[in-house]
Amino acid sequence: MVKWSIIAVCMVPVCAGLAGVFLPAFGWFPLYGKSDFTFDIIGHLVSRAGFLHSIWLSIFTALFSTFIAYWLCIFILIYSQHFSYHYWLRKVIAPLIAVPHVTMAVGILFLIQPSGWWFRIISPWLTGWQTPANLNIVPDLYGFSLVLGLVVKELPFLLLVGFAILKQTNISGYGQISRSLGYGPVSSWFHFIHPLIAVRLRLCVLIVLCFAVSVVDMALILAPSTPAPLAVKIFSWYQEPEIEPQFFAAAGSVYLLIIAAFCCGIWLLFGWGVGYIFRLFSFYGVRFSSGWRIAKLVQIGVLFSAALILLIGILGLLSAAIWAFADIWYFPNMLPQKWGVSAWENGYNTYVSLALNSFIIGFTVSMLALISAIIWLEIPHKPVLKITDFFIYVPLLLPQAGFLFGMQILIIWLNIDGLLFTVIWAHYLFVFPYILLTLGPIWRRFDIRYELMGASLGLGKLAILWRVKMPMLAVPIITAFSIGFAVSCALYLPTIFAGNGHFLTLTTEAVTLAANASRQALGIAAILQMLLPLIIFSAAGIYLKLRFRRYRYFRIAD
Amino acid sequence: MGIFIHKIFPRLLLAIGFCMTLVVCSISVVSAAEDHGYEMLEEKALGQEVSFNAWGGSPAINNYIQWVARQVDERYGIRLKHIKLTNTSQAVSRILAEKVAGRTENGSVDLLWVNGENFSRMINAGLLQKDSWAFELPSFRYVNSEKMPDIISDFGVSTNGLESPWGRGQFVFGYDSQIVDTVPNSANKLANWIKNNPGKFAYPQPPDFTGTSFLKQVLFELIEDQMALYQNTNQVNASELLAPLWQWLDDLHPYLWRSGKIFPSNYSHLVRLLGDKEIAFAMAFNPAEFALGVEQGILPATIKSFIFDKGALSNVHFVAIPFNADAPEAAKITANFLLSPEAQLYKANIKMWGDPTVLDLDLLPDEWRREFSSLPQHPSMVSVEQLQKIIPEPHPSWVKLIEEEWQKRYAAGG
Repeated sequence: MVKWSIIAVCMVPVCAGLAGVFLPAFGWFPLYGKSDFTFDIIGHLVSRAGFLHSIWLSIFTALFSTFIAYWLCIFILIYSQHFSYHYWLRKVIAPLIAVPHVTMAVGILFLIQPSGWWFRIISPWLTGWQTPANLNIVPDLYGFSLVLGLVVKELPFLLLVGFAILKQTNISGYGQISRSLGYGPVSSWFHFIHPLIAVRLRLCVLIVLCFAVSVVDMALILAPSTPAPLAVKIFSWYQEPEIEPQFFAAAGSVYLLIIAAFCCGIWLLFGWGVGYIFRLFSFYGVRFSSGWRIAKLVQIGVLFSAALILLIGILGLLSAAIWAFADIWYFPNMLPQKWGVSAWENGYNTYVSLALNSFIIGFTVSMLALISAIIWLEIPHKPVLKITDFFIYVPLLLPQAGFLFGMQILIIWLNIDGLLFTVIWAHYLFVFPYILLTLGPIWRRFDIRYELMGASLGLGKLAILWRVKMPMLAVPIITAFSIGFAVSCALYLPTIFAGNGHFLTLTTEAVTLAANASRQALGIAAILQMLLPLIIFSAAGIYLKLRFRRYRYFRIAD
Repeated sequence: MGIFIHKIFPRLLLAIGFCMTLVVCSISVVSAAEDHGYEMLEEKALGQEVSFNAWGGSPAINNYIQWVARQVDERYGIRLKHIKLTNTSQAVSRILAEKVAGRTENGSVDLLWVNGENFSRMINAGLLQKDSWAFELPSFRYVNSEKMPDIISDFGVSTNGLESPWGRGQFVFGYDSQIVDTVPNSANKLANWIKNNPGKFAYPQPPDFTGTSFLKQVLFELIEDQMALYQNTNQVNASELLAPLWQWLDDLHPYLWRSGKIFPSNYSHLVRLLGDKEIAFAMAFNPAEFALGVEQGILPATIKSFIFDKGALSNVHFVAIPFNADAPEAAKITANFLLSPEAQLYKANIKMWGDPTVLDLDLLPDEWRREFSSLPQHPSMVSVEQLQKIIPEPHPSWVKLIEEEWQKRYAAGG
């Protein structure tokens, strides 16, 4: 029963959203005077100038960025077993996860563009530039800046999930076995531990991949625009006041779904290929046991690039933060000529109430989504319900503008628009899949013997959940909650659409501020957006530390 | 009374509206509606909440709207709520969704800041109030649609009183006087400057509004038969008429910022690049834009503005009331206040927003005219006399054609 109500809560708006995309894509939109089903629009798009190039950009940036983020993540997980930078690393990645993509994009743009911070630091004494040079650095024509931006955001997310997974895997046990069989440290990882982690991480990686296909806000800033990736094109079609582009946008969304599926297919095929190769190595007994030197080189390379990527992220955020307190800061000064808070004066008294709104919505939504995710995972799955799993992830895959339009009609028809409840519902659709995603793979692979042990000691089902499973899974649960909170905080369109613009949050304020020409306003927007999620992340960390400090199990392997 | 309000009153309004339209058509300059009709509106508007959907990206404009909110609250007991949009199409699609879902009253938008394509899209989808309410507003008497035809013709689409004029946008350039010695105030001079200073000029990528406007502004100079621009593109040989524009751009793109391979995404991006000194020019649709930027410290004081010698592309922006507005009476009162000399004066002040008035100063009472002529000037702003040179917006069909052709030529990759 509970399960069916979760399905209803998710499915009904999702179906409405899907209808809002698919019907116009095939030419059905009576209000615009078109009500015949046709494949013309879908067909016409391919012949539009630059369309195929857009598709190529979307595929390339998504696959390339996910590839880099995934393998860096895997290697960092490997090496983190041997070193104690673990603790430090977790501190660094928290803010990177907490900030929305668009904030990160703004930070990176300011850091590396020809008039950016990096060049301000080395100009004019090193470069001799009094005015910025005309370099095609960011955005570049091939999408590398977007790839960089995506990696900076996705690597920390995968690492966070990866750490939570490691907690649930008996790594040292496998490590001892593999070494006793003569495998080197890295190859033992690939033979024994990578398969275990890959399975648990797979869904997360696919979502990261799909996100990269459909990302708009970051791509608007970092991707090339001649032409732009498909998701950006769809976004701008939806923004156009004319009617015809609305149909293009809908049809483009269908292509976007196909591209997402295609990329997932490639990724799975690739994963299968890697697995096959390692099975061949196993079969022929190739152990790489003597490859210590190469392993060392790989290690240095990986750690260096990972450090560089994380550094870019952190410095980008730092530069945005500096801008918020810069009254005047022109090229080529390394730091602002005049510090001040004048940009904050426009409506600082509202920031508190905005933050309160963000907090209330974010906390309620994440709590609800967490509870329903646990219920969802606890109730055994019937095969029929497997399909519904897919539908839960649909809101993350479709372009928000089109998806929300269909949903909005439903909301208005139900006469519940502009209510807090509706905003929470709309957020739930986006937060629930993320929480399920981060929690599910770990939850489903929880060692059932703990539950059996609990049962043999006379605990009921609920008591096992409450007193055994949840405490042992505290790290992933709280991680999932924090991620859900960060996702909710960053949502812009759902807040506006469901709330009729009456519910203002830090993000709605930040997005309107970001439309402003002043970089000070951008800086403030960035700070507003990173503040709350960061507080939640830190609070979660402190809570875990205090609550479980007596138990060795919860200490991160060190 | 109930019957009166729900049945007769709207018809009465409609009738008045109809009469007023006739009046407008015949004499152009419109006098106010009967005062008692307006008082009725005020009575109904008392205590209503107006949700005013307006672009919210500029603190100056937001502050101005806050001022308006205080004024209408004090005077009419209207609670004005500014719903900040990042793009007007957000609100248009919300109203559209309401129409699809069959909500004919209690709509979420009462007043919408709109013009051009969004307006014509709303007309086509039947999303606006049916009566010509805008012509009945008392403040409309200070408007001179004979002198400024674009006040009742929004990008060539007749407003029919479905939207009330609010302000005027004029296409101005900003430039860094440290880099630029003499102002290149024509398309040819600009082309020469760009070739002599490679990498220092950019324009926002069409279909961005400012970017397309730049192309229209240039087209206006390159084209011989300017009147053709006021006809539908399918009535003239458009591709031949556009050829000089593409030639002009083909010549210049290699000399643009990032060699014309990457374009700034919108005018905000452009202004940021100007502040960073990556480029020497920017453009905007508000004559006070660069003065405001200097005041706020976004731009250095060396930034000045100019317009092309032939005149500045110019259009009017409006406020409209959706068909299902929850508080149409209060929305009308607000629109009337926005058009009043007092609100227009405050808006035109560079210390506030600097948006030029849509009122005809000659029609104003003397004391208001004096107030308008003694508005403060700013060194970074184009003088009021210069701004008199107006180029009205071409027929809207040109926008679509220019944007599509541009897309094909310069944004298809390869």
